[in-house]
Amino acid sequence: MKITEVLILINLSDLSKTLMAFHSDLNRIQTIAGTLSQMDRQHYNTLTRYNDERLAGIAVAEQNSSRQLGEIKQLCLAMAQKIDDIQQTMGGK
Amino acid sequence: MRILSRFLRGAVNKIADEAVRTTVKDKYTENLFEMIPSTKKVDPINLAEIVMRAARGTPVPRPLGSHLHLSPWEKLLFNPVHLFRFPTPEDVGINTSVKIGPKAKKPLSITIPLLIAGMSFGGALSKNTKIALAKAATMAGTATNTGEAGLMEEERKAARLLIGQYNRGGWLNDPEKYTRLDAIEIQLGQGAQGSTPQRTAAKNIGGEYEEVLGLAGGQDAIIHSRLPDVNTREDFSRLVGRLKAETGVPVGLKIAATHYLEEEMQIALDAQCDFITLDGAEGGTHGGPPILQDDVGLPSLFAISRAAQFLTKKGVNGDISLIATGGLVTPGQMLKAMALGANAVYIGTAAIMALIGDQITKSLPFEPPTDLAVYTGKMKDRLDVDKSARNLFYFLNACVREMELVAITTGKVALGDLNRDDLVALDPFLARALKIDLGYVAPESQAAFFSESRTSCGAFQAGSRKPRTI
Repeated sequence: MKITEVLILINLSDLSKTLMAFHSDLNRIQTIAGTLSQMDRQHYNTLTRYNDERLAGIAVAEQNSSRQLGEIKQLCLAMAQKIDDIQQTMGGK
Repeated sequence: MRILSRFLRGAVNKIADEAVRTTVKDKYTENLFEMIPSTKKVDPINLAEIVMRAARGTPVPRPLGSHLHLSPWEKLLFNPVHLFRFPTPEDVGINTSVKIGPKAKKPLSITIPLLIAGMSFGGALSKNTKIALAKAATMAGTATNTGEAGLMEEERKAARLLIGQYNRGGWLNDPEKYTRLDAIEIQLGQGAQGSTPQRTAAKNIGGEYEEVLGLAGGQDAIIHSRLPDVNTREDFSRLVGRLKAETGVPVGLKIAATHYLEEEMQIALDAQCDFITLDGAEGGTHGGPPILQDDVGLPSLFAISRAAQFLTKKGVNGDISLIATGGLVTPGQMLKAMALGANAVYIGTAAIMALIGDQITKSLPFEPPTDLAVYTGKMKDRLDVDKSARNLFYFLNACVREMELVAITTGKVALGDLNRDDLVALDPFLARALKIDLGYVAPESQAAFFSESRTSCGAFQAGSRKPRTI
């Protein structure tokens, strides 16, 4: 085996480890985003119990935050899936 | 005071009596009442536009698009579920996010499936209005659109996500400008104008407008019927390829919906567009000839349905995003457009109305509310940007919440999961055209109903769609 091939294998091994770490982090981010999204939805429900215009405004902002966190969760899931695909392709080679 | 009131009542009574007597006795041809049937005959809007044409001798620039309701959205209803499929539990969040151009190097991810439609600075809207639209879109996690204009720095700064129209005026078609966009929409037409040329006279172009468009002083702003340097399909393909390579962002095509839409879309697919925007005949405009608004194009509902079926037939409905626009003003219409196959919806007229909101009191009763929002409006400086942004943000939030409620009652966890099976049609022709069950008969009786209808009156064709079993 040539030195360049050995180096490629080492780099691939490093890349695989890095991808695993990314995958793990993405899963953690998506869990946090999902939890926060759920909390913001609860805040919306709580804040809309009161007949107060300012609280209603905050409630709308919370509902919107919940959706944006939901979007982050979806993005993380898609990225984690992409990393799975890359790892499978690398493993196949 | 009582005496004055009694006097006024007496006077009004006498005038009314005299008016009734005159109406009853005058020859009909000389009777003032003749105005009622004649106005009803031509329609009050047509009457006003006849008089305007007669006064000016030029096409009248009617604002905000056609008043005709060409898409029968009210003849489609969503199907709630209870046991057949269970509704979504209320503690489950509904996914509202969408990726525009999922196959692009840098897809455009938006939190909600509602986008602010292309409405240009200068040609249509004031700077304050454009900034308010951008701020509202940013608050809601979605994108706004430049319209057919150049790149306005204030809009770029206020918009986290900005779609720019590579336009027939050529004002954004410079790499220094379009490389700063989050998506590029090649604008070849719009629902309210088709692919006609447009001109804004120099007298209506101020300093900032000139600057954004890069016009010399005294120069008219002209939108040509064709894009400069695009005279063949190959030219178009090359343009799409170049923009994709230079930017990496989704590159799409916007056209006025037309009966030729499958042919137009095939060319867009061949050119590897990332998204297609269809602007139905009900689309809005800053001002355009009524004939282009009322008598040209294809209604949004049919255009969306046909386009979605075409993308499915070509096997690319997950790869190419379909953006619907044109007269969609209620969350129900927006969600029906999505259930028919649109991935996202542009809103224009409704966004402007929501943005102005309770500020209409500033313009009424002497000016129309839009006077606060348009570039040529006398009261445009009285528009409160932050209040306008909040109004529109609230409107977007309320619309999406209403859409989420339909997702819950149809048992879905994402707005993008709604499809034709979640709809029922209240018109047999619509049911056949859209491939949606007819609400008059049970799912298992659909084929028999249409078969009998064909036998009895020859009106409908028996379809290939199999009845669903529960």
